Amino acid sequence: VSRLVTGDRQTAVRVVLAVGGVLGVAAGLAQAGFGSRIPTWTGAKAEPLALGLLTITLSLVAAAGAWAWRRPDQLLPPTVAVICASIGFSTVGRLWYLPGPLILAAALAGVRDWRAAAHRTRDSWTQILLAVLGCCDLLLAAAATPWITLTAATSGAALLTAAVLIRGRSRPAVALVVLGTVPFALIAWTALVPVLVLVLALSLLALTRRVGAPRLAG
Amino acid sequence: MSNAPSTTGHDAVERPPLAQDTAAPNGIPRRSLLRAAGIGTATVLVAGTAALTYRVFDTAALDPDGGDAFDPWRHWQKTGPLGCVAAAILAANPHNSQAWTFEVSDTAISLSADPSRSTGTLDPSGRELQIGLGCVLENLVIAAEKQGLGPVLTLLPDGPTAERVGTVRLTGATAAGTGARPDLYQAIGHRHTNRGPYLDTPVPAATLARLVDTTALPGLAVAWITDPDGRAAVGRLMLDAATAITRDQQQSRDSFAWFRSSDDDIQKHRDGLTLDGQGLPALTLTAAKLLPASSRSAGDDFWLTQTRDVHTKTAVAYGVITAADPGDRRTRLQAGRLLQRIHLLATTEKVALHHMNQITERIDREQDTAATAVFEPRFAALLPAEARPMATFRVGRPVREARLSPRRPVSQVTR
Repeated sequence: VSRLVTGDRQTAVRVVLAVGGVLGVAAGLAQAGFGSRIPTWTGAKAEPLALGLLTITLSLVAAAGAWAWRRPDQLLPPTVAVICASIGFSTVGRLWYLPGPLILAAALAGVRDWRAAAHRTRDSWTQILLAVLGCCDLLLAAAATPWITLTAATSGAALLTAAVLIRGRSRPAVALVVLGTVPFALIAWTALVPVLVLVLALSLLALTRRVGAPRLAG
Repeated sequence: MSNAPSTTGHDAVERPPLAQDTAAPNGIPRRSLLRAAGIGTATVLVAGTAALTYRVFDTAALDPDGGDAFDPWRHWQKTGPLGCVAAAILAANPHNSQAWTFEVSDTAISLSADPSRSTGTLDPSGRELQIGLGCVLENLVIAAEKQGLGPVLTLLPDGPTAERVGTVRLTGATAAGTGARPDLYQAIGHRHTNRGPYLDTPVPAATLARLVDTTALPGLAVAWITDPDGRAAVGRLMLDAATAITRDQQQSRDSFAWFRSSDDDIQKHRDGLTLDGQGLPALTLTAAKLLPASSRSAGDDFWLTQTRDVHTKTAVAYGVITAADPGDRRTRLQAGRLLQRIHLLATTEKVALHHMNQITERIDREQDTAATAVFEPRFAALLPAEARPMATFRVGRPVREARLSPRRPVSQVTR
């Protein structure tokens, strides 16, 4: 609080992010607990329990940025927060109208130098693409049979981790991508997308190794 | 955020110049061009994959039988009158419109039509609707027998034109599990319309004979068409009728109204026909789901193609339920009971069945619009003398299993 009063912007951003995350968790709990009883507030969703749990997860991930975002030049925490906040607008209806903008505002306000951020984004583009593929798998996990959900979530987590690791440790990243995406592609090949994700992830790794490891914006 | 100049790119690494670093004619190093092209291509492909991912998510391609819309198939073996209704709502019915409502008490279950769920010009005389309600009654009686509730069915208890089509009184006269047809009860949850291809293995005549049980259903018969010439003739008639329906704008619209293309629609309406129910190969099904939702004309074209290349081409036998007076309401309800019984018996025999009613839909449409009768005489020529068609289906050994159809829960159809 004292830092807030004395004008420490980074701390203020982290506090707002944490508050947004806590409010998001509350919104998720409401959706999961009694979302069907207040449909005008929760978006009249068909599966309030699942969406409530998803919202809680998104909020916790966004709030984790408050802990991880130690320096203003880090881009990963605000990027993740923006993604989580954006998805939240489709999961809990009006209940997200407070936590969502808070998280978004904190994430955007925390970026000091947009030009440098653009440079770093460009330098980290292959990582970003890898992370997008990981998010694709996570989205597939949200609407699949239990066994496929587990495999898809593992694949998504592996790709996201690989996106972070690829900076300096490409071998573990390659292993993660292969071990994560191959089982999912095998088990759900008829959906085509898991196979596409596998091929693209391996291509991105090959591209990265060929032109050199990108800089990490995290 | 670092304000250092962007010297972090890979081209900035100090090393002797390589061939690929040489400048292209426009002055940009070739290596940079290649890298930009690679990254650009990857970006486009990843964006495309993300879009396809959303389609897979939106159509629940990885969980086609999931969600509340399919729960009635998983939780139907319950006790008491509501348990009977849970079995009844799994019955075959036209276009999966589920045009029914139930009145339930401890001693009786009444079934009425829900006219708001009619299929319009596809069924102008209510033939299919009433046959569908007959299917429901058959399931209702089988489930009540299984539970020992001593069902006594009365058709049209309030008269031939009244809203109620049947009442099942639960007399409790038998012991649970002593019903005459326990195998049919078990088949209720496994019975699905199979619109996919069938193997060319013939279904033996003895098996076909076992599928037909007209006990307590007087005046009904089943004509089997198994010879190649007869099947070819019925196939041509099926295709002609399907073509006529697609060319009849109103019938085409009324048919398309019952097609659910997204998982949101399926979970919301819990009725209608779905892509998963079309019996497509896995990859074709996925491709169809990934593409944007089809238009009515595209849907019509798809149906015609399937009718020509799959339905009629792989049918090893057609069955036609016939009666002397297909317009009689009681006869239609009885025909529905027989149709459901046939489908349940086919399920126990692992024989696939696909209801194909386009010919009778065109016969009824021609009568309703006072058009020249085309399909009635053509179909009559393929059937025994005096036998008039009520419902038509094809049977065979399936290439692949049929999928579940969405169903409204008991709570939505009882009062």
